[in-house]
Amino acid sequence: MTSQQQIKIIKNTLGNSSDIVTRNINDIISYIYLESVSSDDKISNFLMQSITKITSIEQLFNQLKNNIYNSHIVIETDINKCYYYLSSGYTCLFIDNEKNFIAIETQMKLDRGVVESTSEPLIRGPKDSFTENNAINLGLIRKRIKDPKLRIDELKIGRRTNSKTSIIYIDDIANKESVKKIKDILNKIDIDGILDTGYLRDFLNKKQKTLFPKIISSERPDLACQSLLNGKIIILVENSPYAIILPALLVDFFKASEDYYQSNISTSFSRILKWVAFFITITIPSVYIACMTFNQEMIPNQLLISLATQRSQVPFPTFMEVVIFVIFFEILREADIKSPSASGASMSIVGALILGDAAVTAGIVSPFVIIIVAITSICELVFTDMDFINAIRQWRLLFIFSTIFTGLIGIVVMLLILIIELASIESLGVPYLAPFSPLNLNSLKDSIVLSKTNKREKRASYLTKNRTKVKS
Amino acid sequence: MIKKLMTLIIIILCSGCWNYQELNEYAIVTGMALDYKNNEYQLSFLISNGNKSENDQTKISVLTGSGITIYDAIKDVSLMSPKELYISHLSIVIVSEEVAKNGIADLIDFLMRDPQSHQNFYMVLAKNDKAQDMLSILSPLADYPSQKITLNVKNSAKLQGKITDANFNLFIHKLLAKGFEPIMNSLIIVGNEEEGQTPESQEKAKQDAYTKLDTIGIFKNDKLVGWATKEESIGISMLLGNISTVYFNIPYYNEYAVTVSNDYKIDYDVSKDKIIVNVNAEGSLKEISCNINLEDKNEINKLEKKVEEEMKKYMEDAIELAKNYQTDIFGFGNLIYKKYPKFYNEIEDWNTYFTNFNIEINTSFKYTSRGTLDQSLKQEIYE
Amino acid sequence: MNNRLSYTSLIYFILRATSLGISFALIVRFAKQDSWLAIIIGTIIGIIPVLLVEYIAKYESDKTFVDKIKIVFPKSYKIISTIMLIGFFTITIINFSNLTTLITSQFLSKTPNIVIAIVFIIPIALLITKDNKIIARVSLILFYVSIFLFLMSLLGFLNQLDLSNLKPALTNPILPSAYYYLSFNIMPIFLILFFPNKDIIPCLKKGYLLSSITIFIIIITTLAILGPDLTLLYQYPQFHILKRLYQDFLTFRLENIFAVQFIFDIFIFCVVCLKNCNHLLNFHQGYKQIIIPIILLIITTLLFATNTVSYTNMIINISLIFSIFFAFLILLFSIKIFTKKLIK
Repeated sequence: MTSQQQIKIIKNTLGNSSDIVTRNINDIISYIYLESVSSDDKISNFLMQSITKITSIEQLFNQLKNNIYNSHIVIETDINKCYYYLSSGYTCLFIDNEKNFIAIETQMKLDRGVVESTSEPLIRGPKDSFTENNAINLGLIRKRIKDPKLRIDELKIGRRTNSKTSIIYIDDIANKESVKKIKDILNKIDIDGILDTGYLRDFLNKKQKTLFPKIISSERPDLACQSLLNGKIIILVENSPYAIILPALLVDFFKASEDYYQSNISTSFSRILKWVAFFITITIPSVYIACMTFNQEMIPNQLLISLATQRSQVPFPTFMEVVIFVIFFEILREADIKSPSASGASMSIVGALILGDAAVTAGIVSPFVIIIVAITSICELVFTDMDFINAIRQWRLLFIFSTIFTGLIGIVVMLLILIIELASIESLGVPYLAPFSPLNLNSLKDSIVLSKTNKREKRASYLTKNRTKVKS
Repeated sequence: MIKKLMTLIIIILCSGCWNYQELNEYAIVTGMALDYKNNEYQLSFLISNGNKSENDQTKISVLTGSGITIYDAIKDVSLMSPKELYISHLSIVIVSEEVAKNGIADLIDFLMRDPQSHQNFYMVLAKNDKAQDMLSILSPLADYPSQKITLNVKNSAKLQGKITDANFNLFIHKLLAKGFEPIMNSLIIVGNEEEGQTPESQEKAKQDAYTKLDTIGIFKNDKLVGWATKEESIGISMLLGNISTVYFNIPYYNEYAVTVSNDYKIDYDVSKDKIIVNVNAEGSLKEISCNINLEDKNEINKLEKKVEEEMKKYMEDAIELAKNYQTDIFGFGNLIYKKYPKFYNEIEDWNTYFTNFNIEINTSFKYTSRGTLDQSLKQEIYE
Repeated sequence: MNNRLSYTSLIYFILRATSLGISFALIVRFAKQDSWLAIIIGTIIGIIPVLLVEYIAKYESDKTFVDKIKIVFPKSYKIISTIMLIGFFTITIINFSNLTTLITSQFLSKTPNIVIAIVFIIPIALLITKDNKIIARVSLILFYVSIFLFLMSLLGFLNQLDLSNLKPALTNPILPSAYYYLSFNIMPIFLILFFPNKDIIPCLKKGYLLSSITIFIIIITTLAILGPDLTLLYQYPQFHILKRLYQDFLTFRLENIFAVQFIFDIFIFCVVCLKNCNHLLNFHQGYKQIIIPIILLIITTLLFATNTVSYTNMIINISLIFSIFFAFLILLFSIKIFTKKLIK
């Protein structure tokens, strides 16, 4: 077949899209590329120049193979694979009467460059974040960990998107069985396409359906590299700026990457505040309902009469007030996130005004409920991971539901169920409550309270077998 | 799947909540008073209302009901109350003299058995008046009368010697212990009680009526047998040892010197035929109207000896009072029981044995401070 | 190291479960002020069943306990396992009804017992379906909470302790109380044999010591604060002293929060008992595991819904009968193993 015929077949399969560009040189060589993803500069500078240097026609294929200026070329035989290369921005070169074709890398940059992270801001520390370009993401990790043992394994997932999925780990630290498990799971995925790492969550969570997240999604390469050094595994998907970090434990949601850049005392303080905020935000609405309706003896004398006075002016039962307000605050947060920044500020002011003064003076709610719900919402803002916040919200509603019927005993029973739930989750074989529940004294130095760097010499034994960090 | 079944079961079964009660549907009882009327118990409750009144003050009301038993009387009160009675935050119980003389074991049994009651309130007697009147006297210094009485008892226990802490737990403990009889404080009304119950009386600077703490009442088992005078009350408190400061008016040279003891230690030396009570106190001089020279050591020593004599006299008077009524309110029987249990079990009735029991008192007192003046003012004036 | 603390906490909870309403009243009835001495003697003598149980666990330590029964008693296996099953059921019912009466008498006084039973069955049924590993993890976290509350309450009681309430010493019969305390410990120790042996063996003595120390401290504080007469008068004296915590400087009433440690004890005890029943009946998967707890507990809370003094005495007598049976069983087991080893 002549090269022109082959190119015609390809053009027909692509349905004569408007961004196809073909060119024929001397009736022997033809190439095809998609101008939406390929860069004209590279084609003209490298490819055309190397073609013009060719003098003789014998052994054309070998000459081209050896003399093309572009640094990255692939030689393929199967013509069905050229669609993948065309969509990735490669140029496919066909020669007359030659079965093989050459795919030459001429990609155009279609991303926003390495900029500051929008969803995980940081005060002190590196501010770059992952982007939608696969090579840049891998580069941000590779330049931080200059270890020859850093492994990047690649898979292609999705029938129609064929997205590059990279599994990154450090060979002598990470657990080999975990890597194998992940690869097995990912290889079995049969789906139209994945557009973001979030699609992978359902497949990775198949064994145990829980509300709590078993993976961490992060946009920051320094957090990813810290996890790699501790023995965790990272999954990156092309066109997605979020990396998945496995395995995730409960303590990881209370850590921030800037913990290690500050002094350990201030870090310990902020982590203790986060744990306190976690318990407050889950239990305070239900504790309020229990105190007001079932166990009034827990309230001190003076507060009792002022609370009774406030309650008498409100027509609704206590739990209805609390539930309505919690839901209203959640709606307010959703509106705040999704609205464009121009009108965002006024929305939250309007919402706060409505909820605050006007509701109290209209006699719909009592002022104490507003304080309680405001405290829960503020404590919820401490966490950054969206999955974790969603889990907290659902458990909060479950707590309120059980308190409505039985009071304080409902809180105790729900707490037992929460502990049972947390204790039975296992993320890649590692128990979710890891430094606390199978008690691991060494890892406790990094869980609630952070100790100094020179005392944290060993890695966690539940994550890896290679435990020494500092070799003297 | 299991979880869904469970939640369905809960929803079906919990379609009515038995213990659910909103806070403003409770009538919060803060004070309780017990009287006798035609041989029936008359119970009064001081209820703090949950609704706001016009002057932004909490409204209170006193409801009275009668019945043959305590619970009967409570149900009588609930017939006139728009809300359910809630006694968990009770802070004061006032018992009248007549009821106490017939025995208050019924009241105590009820207050201990009810799961709603938390036994950290105070119990006082009402002397010469009806107990329910004391609950209705308003005071401008406190939000409601029971709060005023409670704070009165609590603060007086710290500052004065003749009021002991009237805690209910302590009362029960003394009631049930061997060789120990309880005591209780008392309240009186000063002034015109009819006018003291109106809010207009609060707006005057000088109140028409107010409640005041008075002397101690002595019990035998659960019945009131007698009253102590002011000096005897001080003696009782000193012998019980659970006070922090106590004051004396020392008569000296036809005038008085007021002494307060700050550091008060009491020690019991127990043996089968007598008990020796050793009291060591240190104190300060608060007020002196005699004409003596304070720099002279001999004068101070003489004053100290006078203080010791006064202390001993108060305590001996108190013991005489207890022996007359044949009750051992100081716990000497308990001390003997703890040290010589067999000897105690051989005595049939400790209270009658106690009337002939020998108790010696040794006191010692030392001045550690005299305030900010070096000399007595009268001496400087009349020099 | 990883599992040792979890299994120690499991043993701690199991041994404390009967101390709330059942064994406490009986011990204080006989040895009023000297109950603390009775507990010390009971603990010392009680080492013997613990050592015997350890001996049984070490014999053929890689087999499960059900297999061990078949090996040691080849002929009367069925009789023994049915009586054990009945024993576990009745003890669970007794402790569970104790829990429901505690809650109805102190917390929710108007709710019928069955609603409370259903509310508590849910976490029990949830935990039965999981592995031993997960039960151990849950008990470790509950152990943190329980020890924290215990230490906080101890700190709060320090200035209310009046040790003169414990005098006159040594005037009451101590040995019957020690015997009763011992007999209430035998049944829980027997429960432990159903757990995998290599995890349990290093933890037995530590868990036993820890629970004995905490029960001892609780009894001493209760007697010192209330005095022996009031302790006999109240139904749940350990719960009552919690009402006197922190009265001086905190105005909140925290006895509801501190009482949670007793709820945890009985919860873990019921879970372990029912899981052993499932082991004996070979229910390992699916819905069969939760049939037994649901049906039996609902039926018995309907039957035993009263809170009278005669009911408490009946409970105590039944527990004593079964504890005698289990003590006898432990002795039989050890003798048979000893003879088997001699034959070899």
